[in-house]
Amino acid sequence: MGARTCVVHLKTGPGPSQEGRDDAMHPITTTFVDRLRNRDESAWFELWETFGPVIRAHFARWGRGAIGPETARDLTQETLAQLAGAIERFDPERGVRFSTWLLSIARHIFGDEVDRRMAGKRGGGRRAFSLDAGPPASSDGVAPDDEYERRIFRAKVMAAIRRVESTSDFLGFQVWQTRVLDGVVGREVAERIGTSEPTVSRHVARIRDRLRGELARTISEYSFTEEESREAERAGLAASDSAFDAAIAEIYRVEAGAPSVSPDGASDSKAWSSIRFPPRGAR
Amino acid sequence: MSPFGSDFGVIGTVLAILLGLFLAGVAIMVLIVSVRFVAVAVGRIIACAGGIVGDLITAVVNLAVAPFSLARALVLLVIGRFREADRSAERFQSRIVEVGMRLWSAVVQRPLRIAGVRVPPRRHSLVPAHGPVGPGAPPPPPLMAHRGAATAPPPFAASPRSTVDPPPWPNPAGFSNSFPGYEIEGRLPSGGSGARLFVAAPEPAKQVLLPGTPSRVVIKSFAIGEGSTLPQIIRESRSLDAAKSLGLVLDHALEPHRFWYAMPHFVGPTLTELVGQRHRALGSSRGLDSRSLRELVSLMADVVENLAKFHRGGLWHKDVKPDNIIVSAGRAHLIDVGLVTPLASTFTLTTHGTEYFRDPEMVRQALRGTKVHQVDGARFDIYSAGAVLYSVLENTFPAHGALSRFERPSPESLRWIVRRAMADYHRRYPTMDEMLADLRFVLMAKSPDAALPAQLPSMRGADPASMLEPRLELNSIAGAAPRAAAGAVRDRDAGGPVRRFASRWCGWGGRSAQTKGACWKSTMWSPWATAAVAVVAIAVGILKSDRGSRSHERNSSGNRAVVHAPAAGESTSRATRRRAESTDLPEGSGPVLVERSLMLSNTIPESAESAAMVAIGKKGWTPIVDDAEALAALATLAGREPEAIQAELARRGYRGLVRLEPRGERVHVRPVSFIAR
Repeated sequence: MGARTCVVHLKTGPGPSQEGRDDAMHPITTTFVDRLRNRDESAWFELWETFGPVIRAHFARWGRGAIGPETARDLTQETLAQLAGAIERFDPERGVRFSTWLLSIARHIFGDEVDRRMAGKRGGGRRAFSLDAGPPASSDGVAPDDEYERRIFRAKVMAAIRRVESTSDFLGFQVWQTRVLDGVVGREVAERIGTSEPTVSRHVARIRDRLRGELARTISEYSFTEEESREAERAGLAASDSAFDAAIAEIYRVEAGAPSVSPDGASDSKAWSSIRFPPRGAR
Repeated sequence: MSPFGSDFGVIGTVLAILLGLFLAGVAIMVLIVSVRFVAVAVGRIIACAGGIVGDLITAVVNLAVAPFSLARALVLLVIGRFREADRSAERFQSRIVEVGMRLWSAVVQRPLRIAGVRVPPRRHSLVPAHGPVGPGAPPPPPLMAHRGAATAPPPFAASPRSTVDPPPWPNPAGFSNSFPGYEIEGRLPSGGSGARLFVAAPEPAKQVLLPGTPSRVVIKSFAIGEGSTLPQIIRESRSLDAAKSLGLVLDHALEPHRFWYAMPHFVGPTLTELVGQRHRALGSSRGLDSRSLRELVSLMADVVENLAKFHRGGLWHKDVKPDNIIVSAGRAHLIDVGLVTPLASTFTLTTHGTEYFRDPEMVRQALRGTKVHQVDGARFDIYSAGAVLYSVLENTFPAHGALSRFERPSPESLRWIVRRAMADYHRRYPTMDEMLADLRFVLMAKSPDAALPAQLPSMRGADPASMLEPRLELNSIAGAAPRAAAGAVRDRDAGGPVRRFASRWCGWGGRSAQTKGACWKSTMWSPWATAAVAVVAIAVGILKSDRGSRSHERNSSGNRAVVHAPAAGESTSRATRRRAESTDLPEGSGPVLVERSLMLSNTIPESAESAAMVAIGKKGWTPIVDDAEALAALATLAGREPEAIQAELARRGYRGLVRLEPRGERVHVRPVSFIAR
């Protein structure tokens, strides 16, 4: 797909809370946005790695079977490339949620794709997909937008876990992963790795503490409003240790299960490198 | 009578004899030529008939399948999936082209070939003489499957090769598919690099010059005029010499507008296909059974061993994924050396690779502009190997990297290996050898489920060479698993006499992994608790020893042989004597379960897999070398004299070398060359 000028109307989607408008962005967020604006490719890769799967899944859902994994990936790349342009115009004073910001651009990209396809067919001009209506609510009765917000939040939690994994010692993290994420009892974990239960408990407590800290940092980084920052509390991540572990395990169970996209989507050798960011300041 | 008369008579006789001999010689020559002519004619007729049958079968199959491709393309077009519709249309076109070429070959080429007439290549009317290049180029006709023996059409199996015969079909799209010294037999689907892939048979003169004298090779060709670019050619040619030294590339040539190289040709399913078959056979969510698990993990060990060779040769593969692994003759072979890179390259790291099998850290480093030699590229291969092992266990790709969840039942030790391989760059296996040692430990365990993460060599800090190369650790020649536990034994020995006593008993072969895990854990308890556990362990050990004796009795009756390895450095204690007894290998035939270790299995790399294959009851393995040869090889590997090796073996309590001989589906165990104790 060729590069197109993207005009993103940030007012689409759920509106920001009043509190969010009043509060300034967290310094971590500001730093992250600055990195994006400075075309720090590592920051963009983080964005791709963390939220790419969510956006891909959303495209696939919008497409209702008419969007294959490759197209979903192409659109995700396009979204990211457009984000690079939109970040220049991002205004923190408007208090738009980070997730909304992402979704707005994704909607725009998807709309363009639909228009392009319909223009090449008879009956062009009639939209085959209604982005506003979206697919029916999921089986648990969650509205599509709510489901999207939940996925974005889960993606943030997974990003935090990944960061803890990359900065912790292997054994300690594996003990925590086996105990908390896989739900194996402490005694069995101790047996498997040849240590004692108290050692397992120490590892779990240490990783839990690190995860709490990393979670706060990650959520701040990818949250533009105070409302988003408080999502962790609402998800039970500010509760007691056992509740925290249970909430993390549940998020992991939902998020890190079998992939929803076909492996065909993986057979690309240049997925990341093929993204062409518009030059800085391009509109 | 005139004396001349008798002379003439003699001369006449001699001349008659000579004439007779001459005529007989001529007759024999005529006969030979006639026989050869008839043989050649018959051979050509048979070859022609076989080829025609193959051509017709392929043509009919393609003709039957083509309408479906067309219908699919139309349906996809109607529902707006243009890209896929385009691909289906291309497939339809290639099938029609294939039908045309096969008919041309069956009706014209092959009959004329009987008369020795060489038909010049003819361009098919459905394909332009100089077809489009690049992404829009028509796909190659599916003439021969490089991947997937099941999909390989019969013509090539049926049609014999001839060094003077033209290619069995014409140059379909004007590609420069002529390579000196090779006869092109078919084309393979092109990968993402834009290169053309051909299956070719080396001519006899060329064949003898190639390593391994292969009967078929795969030629990868990059032509500027056919969609390839100069950077691609440069990248591909960068590590050519190293790749040649490793046997990955057999031949190559750089021509003014083209670069090509020949690689070994393997026919068989990809690991993706094999894993899918094994999982489907057992249901979607039941995981793999023990047999399939051993088979696939054994193949993974092949892959890891191959990668270790890459790394030792100063290269890294960079695109390890199940689709790039072909299983042929019970072995796993890595293909596609397109991204192979020297570890010491001074070029900037690139992001090439396959998503989900490519280490995200590599992408980060590439985005920072890191040079290849500034990182350890081998670790990126290790990540990919872990991702491949994940896909073996789960039949899907690891969408969340090291955090990907296991949803199917699988041994804990293998999950641990996956996570260790896919861990953070600085925390994963430092070398492929360590990963290989862990995999072999699991393979040699009584059952994969019995091996616990705590027992893996990497967890105990054991030297991976103890499972790989006897040069570093002579113990590995027997008792790979027990000897790999050397680190753990050392750890356990540090706990005082009671603890040491208990832990030694805990390490006996034949004991369940659970018992060993519990025993090892017990060393952290108080001395009294440890002593109590030791008493229990001793009792269990005695029972196990008795059980081992019974297993040998079963072997004598031809049911089962359990091969236990003696431990190294044992004294003349009662325990040692018991254990030595349990290592006796009575002669006899029967299915052999090689448990824990097998002498020689770790001494000669080529035979290690053979031993493993015997262990899981596979056919087609090659015999292990003779005992004298094995001893010499062992001495070479260890860098010592054979006599010293023998003395060392005897000192450590080894009873001798063991040779396994294939006897159909059964395996004959024959102890040879016992060493005097």
